[in-house]
Amino acid sequence: MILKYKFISLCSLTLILFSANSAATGPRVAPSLFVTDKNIMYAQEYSPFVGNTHEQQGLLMDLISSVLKAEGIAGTVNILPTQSMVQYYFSQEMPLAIIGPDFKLSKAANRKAIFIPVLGLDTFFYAYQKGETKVLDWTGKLKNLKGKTYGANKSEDVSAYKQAGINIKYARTPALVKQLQQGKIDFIGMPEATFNYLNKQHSPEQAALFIKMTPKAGKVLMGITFNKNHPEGQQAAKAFKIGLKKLINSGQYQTILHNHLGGDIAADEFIKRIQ
Amino acid sequence: MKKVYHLLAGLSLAYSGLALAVEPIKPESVGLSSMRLGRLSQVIDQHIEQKKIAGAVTLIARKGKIAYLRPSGLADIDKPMQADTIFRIVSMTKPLTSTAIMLLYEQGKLLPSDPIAKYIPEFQNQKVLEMNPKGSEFPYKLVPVKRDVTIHDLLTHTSGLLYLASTGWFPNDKREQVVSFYREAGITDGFCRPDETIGEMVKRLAKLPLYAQPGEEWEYGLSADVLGYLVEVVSGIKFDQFVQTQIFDPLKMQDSHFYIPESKISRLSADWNSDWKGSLERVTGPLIDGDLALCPNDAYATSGKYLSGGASVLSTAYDYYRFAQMLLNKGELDGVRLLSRKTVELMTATNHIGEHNATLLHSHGWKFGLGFAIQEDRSHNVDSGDVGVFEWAGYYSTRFSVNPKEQTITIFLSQTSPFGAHFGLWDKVTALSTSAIAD
Repeated sequence: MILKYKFISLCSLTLILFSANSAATGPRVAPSLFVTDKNIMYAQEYSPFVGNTHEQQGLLMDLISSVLKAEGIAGTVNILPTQSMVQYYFSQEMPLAIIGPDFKLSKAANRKAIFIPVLGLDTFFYAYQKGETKVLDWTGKLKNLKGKTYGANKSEDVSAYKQAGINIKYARTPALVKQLQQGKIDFIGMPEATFNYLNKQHSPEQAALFIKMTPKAGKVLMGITFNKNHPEGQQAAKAFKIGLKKLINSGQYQTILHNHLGGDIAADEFIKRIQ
Repeated sequence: MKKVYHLLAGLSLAYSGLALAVEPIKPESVGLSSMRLGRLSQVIDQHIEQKKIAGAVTLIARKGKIAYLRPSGLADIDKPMQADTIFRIVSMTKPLTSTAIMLLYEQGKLLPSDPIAKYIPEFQNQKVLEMNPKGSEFPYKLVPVKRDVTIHDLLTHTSGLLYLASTGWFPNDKREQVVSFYREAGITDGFCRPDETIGEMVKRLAKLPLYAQPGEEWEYGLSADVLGYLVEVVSGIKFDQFVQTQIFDPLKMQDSHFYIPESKISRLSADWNSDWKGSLERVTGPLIDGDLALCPNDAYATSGKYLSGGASVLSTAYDYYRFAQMLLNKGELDGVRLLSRKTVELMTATNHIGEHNATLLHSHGWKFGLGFAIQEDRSHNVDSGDVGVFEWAGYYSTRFSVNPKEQTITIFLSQTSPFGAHFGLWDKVTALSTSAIAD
């Protein structure tokens, strides 16, 4: 998905001129007919927060694009399917910003990063109920889950789990839900919205068999990381912070939350998490 | 000897209780030697007796007539192979997908020279992975493509897309790095059937780095899967429905499916794991070997989302013969014209890949057309009988070969893993089929 905020007329004009020129004189297959924006941003696909279609760009993208638009921060957002690629672009190239969850940047990359949290969510453990047996003894202490197998993303920090004697199996999030169902792993952890999205996509008929464990397992922060080294990075970060405050104060932030997560969520809790 | 052959062939067919009314004609009537075809039977039977393979169906046709159709061995435990046994043809799906693309080409809906990004925008601004010199701060860099990937690149496997399994075939650091992105993005080779649509997978794949600049290397990979999704985008019809209505139905390929109907499950062959030394076991679960993931038992699923243009089709020897005969006839079968003569000539033109060679299943001396390998000369290791022979194969040991000059078609369908051990048997099948020509 590509979002264009400013310069769209200029880009369109360039595209038309460049296409016409290619057709008239250039090779039959041009290197690329699309102009690369100097203010490129990369986002990690992370449904339902960062979607891969324009129609369903996701909650995080809705919040961020509202601020970018309001503050006149121009740029093209390129959504990528892997965290490694987003990390690569931030550390090796000169994007204006990257968007998504905590990217676990290297020390060198961190030095040029200005992270602005936009969305904070509680995470929960989920187990799959087979018969009457209690599947997980979760009281808030990981040591109670010793010997169980946790399904993690490759990028997840699992040191606390390992320290508690929990086994780890890695896979992509949709595959983890499947593996949980198949009994290959004992539990997974993610925000409730992620779980509900995946469940709806892959096994809605099984919804009742997945058990959300309480208390909460942790918290995940998502947001936008501006690049200090980009010529417009520091200024854009400053403008974004102001814009985010305006979005919250105007009530628009809460409206977007309600549109995505339903009317019954406590928007104030979300705001506290990012403050 | 001739009488014995006919008796055996007759018994074989009678035993199979063929649902399809196919009776091979006398081989001599189309210039083939029954005695020499008997040698082929012997070779296959030896492999079965030695428990190298469990069974096979072999079909040889010449001049538009089937002269040899022989089921042998077992399709499953206690279940003899039948002439109409259904097989996982895996990569023999690819020529069907190429044909679907060429049907759209003939309808004026696309050109091989079109960039794929014209239809699937996720392919815009692709990058190619290049390794940095050893000792660099970062191991690789991503550089822009010199030109966009075209439909022609996809048809000829010069797109720069990989199979994950290729890390086992041709290991190197660059390949490992590209495949690590594939793994992280949940890309699969399509030999198992993931719980997602082909479009979902292709859109993620499009955002990942290419292994090579488009057109610069011949690299067998997921190109046909992208083409399968392209058929959906361009036609507006689900890929399986398009193939059903535009290829299977007109060619009367009644036993070819992406997902097997419940009523035909009993006809699906088992897959067998062979150590090629006499130990043969029916495969009951997934076969995982590094990045190679095979799920032969996914073929028993009667429905699902994933429609791989590179691997999903199940078919019979007779059905695939009908497809091959259409190509041999330059686009027409039984009064139905599927493709124009000129389109088939384009697909089977000897060289679409320049100085590269299609060496994965064959050897030097083989080029690649729009969907199959094509023999360029007879001076290399793999010889299928003539310059211009076109053929391809499938992971569970299936192979087809079409010789336009001699008007012959050879189809060998087995279901045996692992893959590489069968090259010798396949080559013998084509050699014996060719040497049965007696006019």
